[in-house]
Amino acid sequence: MNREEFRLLRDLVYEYCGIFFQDEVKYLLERRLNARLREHTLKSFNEYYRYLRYSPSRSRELEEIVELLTTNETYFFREEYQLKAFSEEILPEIVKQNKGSKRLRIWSAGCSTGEEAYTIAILLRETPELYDWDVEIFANDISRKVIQRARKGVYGRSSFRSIGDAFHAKYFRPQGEQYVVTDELRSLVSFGQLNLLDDEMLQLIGKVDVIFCRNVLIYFDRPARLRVLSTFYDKLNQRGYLLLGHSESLMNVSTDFELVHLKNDLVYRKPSAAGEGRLDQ
Amino acid sequence: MKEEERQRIVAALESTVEEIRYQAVRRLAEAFDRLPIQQLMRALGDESWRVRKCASEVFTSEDAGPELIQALIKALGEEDNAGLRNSATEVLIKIGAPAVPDLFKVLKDGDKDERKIAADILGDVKDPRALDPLLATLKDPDENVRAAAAESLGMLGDASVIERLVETLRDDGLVVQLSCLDALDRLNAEVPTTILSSFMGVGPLRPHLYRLMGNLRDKSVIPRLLEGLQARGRGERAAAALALVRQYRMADKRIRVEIRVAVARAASDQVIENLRALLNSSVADERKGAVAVLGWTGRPDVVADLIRAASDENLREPVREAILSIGPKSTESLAEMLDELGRSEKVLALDVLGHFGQPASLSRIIDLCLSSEVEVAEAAQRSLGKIGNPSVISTLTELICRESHSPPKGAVASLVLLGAKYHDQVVAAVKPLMDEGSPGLRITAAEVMCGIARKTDLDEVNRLTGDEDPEVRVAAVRSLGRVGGDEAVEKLRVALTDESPKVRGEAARALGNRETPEARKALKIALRDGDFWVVRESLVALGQGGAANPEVVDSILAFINHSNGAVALEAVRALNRLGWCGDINRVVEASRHPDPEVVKEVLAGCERWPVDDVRPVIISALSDPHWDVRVAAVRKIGAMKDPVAMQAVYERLNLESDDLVKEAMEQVLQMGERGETDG
Repeated sequence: MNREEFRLLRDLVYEYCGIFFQDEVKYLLERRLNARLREHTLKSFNEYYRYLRYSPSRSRELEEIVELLTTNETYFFREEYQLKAFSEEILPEIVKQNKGSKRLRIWSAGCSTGEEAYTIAILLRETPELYDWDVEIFANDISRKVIQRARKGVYGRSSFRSIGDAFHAKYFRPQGEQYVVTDELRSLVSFGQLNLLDDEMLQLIGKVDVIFCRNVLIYFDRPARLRVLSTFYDKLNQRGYLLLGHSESLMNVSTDFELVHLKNDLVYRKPSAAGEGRLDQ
Repeated sequence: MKEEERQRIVAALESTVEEIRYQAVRRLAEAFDRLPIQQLMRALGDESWRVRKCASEVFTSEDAGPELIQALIKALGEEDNAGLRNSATEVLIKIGAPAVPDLFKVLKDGDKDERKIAADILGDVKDPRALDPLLATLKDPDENVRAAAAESLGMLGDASVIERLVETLRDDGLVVQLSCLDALDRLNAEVPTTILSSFMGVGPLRPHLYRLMGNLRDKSVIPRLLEGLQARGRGERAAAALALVRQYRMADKRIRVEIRVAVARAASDQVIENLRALLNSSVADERKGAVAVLGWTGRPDVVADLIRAASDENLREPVREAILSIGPKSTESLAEMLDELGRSEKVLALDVLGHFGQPASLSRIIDLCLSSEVEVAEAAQRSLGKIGNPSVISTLTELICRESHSPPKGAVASLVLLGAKYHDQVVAAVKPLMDEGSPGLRITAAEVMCGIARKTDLDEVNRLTGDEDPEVRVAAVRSLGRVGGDEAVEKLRVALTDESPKVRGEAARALGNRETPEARKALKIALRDGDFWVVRESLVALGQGGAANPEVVDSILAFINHSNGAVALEAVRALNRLGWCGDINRVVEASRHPDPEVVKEVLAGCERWPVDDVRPVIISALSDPHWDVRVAAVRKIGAMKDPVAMQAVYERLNLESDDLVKEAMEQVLQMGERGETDG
């Protein structure tokens, strides 16, 4: 892949979903996309570029690339300290806040194969105060394939490396060599295919109390990140929480969210009595 | 074409070999700019019917100059060549209006045969100018000419002649009377019973008289018609039966009951025999009439005859209605006959047995649920649902388990039907299949459970909206649309993001049933879906919205020119349903869509605009390349009663080459003359 080809492909992917590849990851792009060339018996990345621009199956192929380039291994109870902050500190606050409506909405934005969404579901199921609440987790990803896998809810052993035995036994049923999530967990999660940069389609998601968006913003460039954060701001209820990946921060990106020092983690929150402020530089 | 070639073709017209003459006639149109009259006339009078037919088909309206018309008129007098006379008649009819003045001359001055043919042609041409000349011809010295004139007056379709026809009926002889009665029937004339009754003594007239009685909104004719069912003549009996059916169709509920009671009372064995004989008539309408009247007799002994008549596909629905008319008494005969019946009759019988909920035949019906004939099996399964006995729930469940690879539609439908009454029992039977079954069985089980779900089942339905199988999610979303309250809108909105376009389409459909701002907003967003079927469903749903909300309308307008005809059509249809009557330029835009269905839909909604604004669109559609668009435009002009547009139709009439369009134009113009219009 020469530089021109890299730039063409990078710009095409960016135009499609806002994911931006820095120059340093050219080698990664080339390695992962070689398989697609073989799949379509194309001779060069230039031909592949044309295919992505004009083929009737271009949307499918673009989804395929995005998944190929962004899917990293994930597992249940990843970044446990943050989940501890969520269950021991954030949830009790929200329970107090919403005790009148008894309604809780959580958004797993960029849910990949579903481990994060089901993890959140386990934590909610383990919170007795929520038993008689109207609780819903929306979990979306741009890739159709990963959403389909998430719906299936079937996982191999590597997904369970961080989950305790008790939860494993309580919330998963064996299925051959693998495990499938119980209906109890499934009933809390609604999956959908969405692009975080598609403002119009995102209107289908209502207001939420907590957003998990972990290790997703790293794929966007600054303008795209600002757009996504603006969406998150609009979607969050007042004093709603935004949880990012451990290596992600809003420093030099946005001052609309306040940084909250919890016992177990640093998280972001939409301030209370916030005006309709927009993200700044 | 070279002159040599032309001459060869002309020479070939004289060949002794029929095929050569035939091929020569076929090539006449390409050989000459205008058909040579002499050669055409020679071909029209050829001894071979095939050559004559070809000659009359080769001719087009462009060839209809005065010279040809004269030659054709002259040919009407060819006593020795009947073939030429008939062909000339055919071509004159095709020429139509330009030949009319010359035909008037023949009507006045020709010999009796020529006058008769001229009168016949004027009836076929249906030119309104012929009215007065034909009325005058009712006084012609020749009976056959008078009869032809009477018949042609019927074909012109002008009701103003009815009185004259009735006068002629009174004053003239049998041949003319028959033609007058035919003409009156064609005009749907309501000739008073007193007048018709005065002719009942004339046997050959009676069938026609009965037919006319069928037009009268006068129940005093019913006894006459019932007498007609016992007449000696088959024609009378058939006409009486058909007239009874016409009476029934026109009548209100109360009179219909009276007709049925009267028929049941009059249903002697002789009448039944007569009607049975009519079931074998070669005329389809007579068979239909016999079926209907037999049903009204209420006699179970006719069920076997009716069922056999149902082997004719066209009679299936009338037979079904007739047997239902007979009522539950019909089921005994049906249950006994089941084994002897053919496939389609069995299906009908099972339908009726289910309708009347005949539990006595339950075990036989259960056997038929496994019939190797798919239609019979499905009918038997559906019948079980209609009978409504909960004991069959387990049978039906076994059936769907047995055929899990291809779920039996009838069994599924029956379980849903039974579930309305025996909800818990059906759920108990079907729910285990969700966990134990194959993928196909899970889908079927979900369809049943979601089909019978009530508000109390919402938790389960919600769960199924997240199922890994898109077909299960479709069933669940459909159910949510049906039983979910306002809280379901949130779930349906999320379903619009499903990776399966089928699920998204179903969610759009379900949101269409909710007239809330939230639902409308979600549907507007769904208009951006990449799958055009989802877009289409969203347009349909938005079109159900009631009033024309400006935001919604703007979203829909963006699709009226969509390259996919199905999408553009739904957009226009949605605007029509919402009663939108905004910018006329958008209407003009939509009327230029290449898909004729879109254009027809545009025309259908035109009456919402002032006539002056919308007239150019409709008149322009009269020249559309698609015949069906032109028909729609003509009908719309008829409905709008706009004289300017009517004039445009008149002007186009002779240029129109399509028969159906021409027919529509003639109808609309005639109605316009009479001062009526319809859709």
